[in-house]
Amino acid sequence: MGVNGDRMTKSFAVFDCDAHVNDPLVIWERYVPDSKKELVRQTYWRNDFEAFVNGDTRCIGGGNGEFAPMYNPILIAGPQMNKKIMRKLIAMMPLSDEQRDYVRHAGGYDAQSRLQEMDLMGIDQVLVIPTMVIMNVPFAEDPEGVDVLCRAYNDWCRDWCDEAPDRLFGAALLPLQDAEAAVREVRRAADLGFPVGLVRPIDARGAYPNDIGRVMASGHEEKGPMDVLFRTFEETGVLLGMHTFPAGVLGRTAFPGALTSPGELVNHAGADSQTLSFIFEMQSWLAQVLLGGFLDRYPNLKMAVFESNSQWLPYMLETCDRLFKLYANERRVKAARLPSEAFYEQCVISFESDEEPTMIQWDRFDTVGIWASDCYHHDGADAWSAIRAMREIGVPEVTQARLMGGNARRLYGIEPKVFVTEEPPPIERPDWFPQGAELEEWADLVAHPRENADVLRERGISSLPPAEVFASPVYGGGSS
Amino acid sequence: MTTSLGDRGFSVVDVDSHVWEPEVIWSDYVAETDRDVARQAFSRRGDEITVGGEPAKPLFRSKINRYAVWRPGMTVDDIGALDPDAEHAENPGAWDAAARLADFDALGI
Repeated sequence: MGVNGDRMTKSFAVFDCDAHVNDPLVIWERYVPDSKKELVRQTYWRNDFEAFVNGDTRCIGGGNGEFAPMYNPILIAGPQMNKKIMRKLIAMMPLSDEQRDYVRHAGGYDAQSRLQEMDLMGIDQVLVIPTMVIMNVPFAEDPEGVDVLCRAYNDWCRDWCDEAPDRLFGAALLPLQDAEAAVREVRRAADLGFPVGLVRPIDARGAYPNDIGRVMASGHEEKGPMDVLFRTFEETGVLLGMHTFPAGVLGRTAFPGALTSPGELVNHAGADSQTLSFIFEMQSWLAQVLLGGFLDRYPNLKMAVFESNSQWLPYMLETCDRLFKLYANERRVKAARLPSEAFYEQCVISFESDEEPTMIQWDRFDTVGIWASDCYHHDGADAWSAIRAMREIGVPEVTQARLMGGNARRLYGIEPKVFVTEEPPPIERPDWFPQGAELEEWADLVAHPRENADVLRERGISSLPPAEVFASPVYGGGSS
Repeated sequence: MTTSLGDRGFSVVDVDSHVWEPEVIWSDYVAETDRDVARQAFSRRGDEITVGGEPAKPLFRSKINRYAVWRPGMTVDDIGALDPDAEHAENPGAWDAAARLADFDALGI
């Protein structure tokens, strides 16, 4: 690893284990058979301006038109973007169509654009994960409609990855409303070469993925309806990819008033569940998995923990180990391994470029940490920023190589290939684009609004868009 | 009692430690006229809990009272090794002040 001026160089292959596509409309238009289009329309359907679950429950689908006059936050975090730029763009609202199109990164739906943007972001290979379908489809009620949609997504994703099969890899969407259908799709995903199948750990429709309540209540005599699915993950070698999302109830719950996601408690408090929903959903899942004997029940299962941050993992493993020992003679399920041992043998966890606490604890993540860009979602970042941070912290280069790709490829069984070695020079931007000294000065001022209050007032600077923007129906205004 | 800070040179304040609410709270510290109301609202007799006049879920899943069984020197592994079907004495330090002070001394608090 070296430095090219202020620009980084690298010698190892970077594998981005959790980056996204913005489920393109072509899935519904071309990959859903004509004979099933109405069924899928009544299951989960979207266009560029609106989306519906179960035919009539409105949800966010990810279309560019849904977010106007703001940028699309699902497609914003591309090459050389950062949070200062995004914050300034918000202050510039309403953005023009030209501006919104410019910051809508086409790599979120177009494979060739993705490759170009990966080159700029220092990413050699990537596993792409869908976006709003993971959030919305768990609430869909029609098993056949979900099955058709999942097959359509996976067929589209296979074609998309085939444009660069040694760089682009897919994670399969699974029709979890029907365990047998999910089993079939895992087998098909294995045949199609998908390294990962996706599950979101929430209680949508009262169907938590491992039906832990029923399994535990029966003293593990019952296996739960998803037992056959987890066995299939073991048999096929496809990784179980647990991926979390912000909380939102879009349909049936276990019973009236029941939570589907622990993140809903954050929403109840009036804050946005994006703050902690990802972490809460995963910690709830892992606590049961690690203390409920799940990994011993499925000893050949490999599981990836996605999109949930990671710096909490050492604390959680220590806590679970302590509880495991405290109840050594009262556990309903006997287990030979400590939760931490089971995790290190069967699991990996993703981390992102801004997780310096994880990098500081690099020895705890050396064999289980897998780097994720999370692009193009608004908190995404490139590989260069992660490598730069690890260099400053003093993470050994051999560990950097494992964290930035080696661990993920080992589990996925993917051959490393290096396509990019040098951080690119600054991208030439249009005049209106936030950049340079002016952006830095603005960001410094709005980052400290109290101490800079007089300057901000004198110069008429605000980090918020004009009030009339919030009158738009998109932001809850303009309706009665 | 000592006023010395001892060899450590500082005093230790334990900011989160528990009592195992003794049954005398209901029998001796709730006025007789309020006792029935208080017992119905929330009370404990042994490991039986009453909440809102109804019996609540039993506190213990075994004969181990995990709220009062620990005593100075016991490790996590010691607790885990306890026989869940055997009786285990509760530590009086969980409700008796004099016993608690003796535990303080053993624990360096």
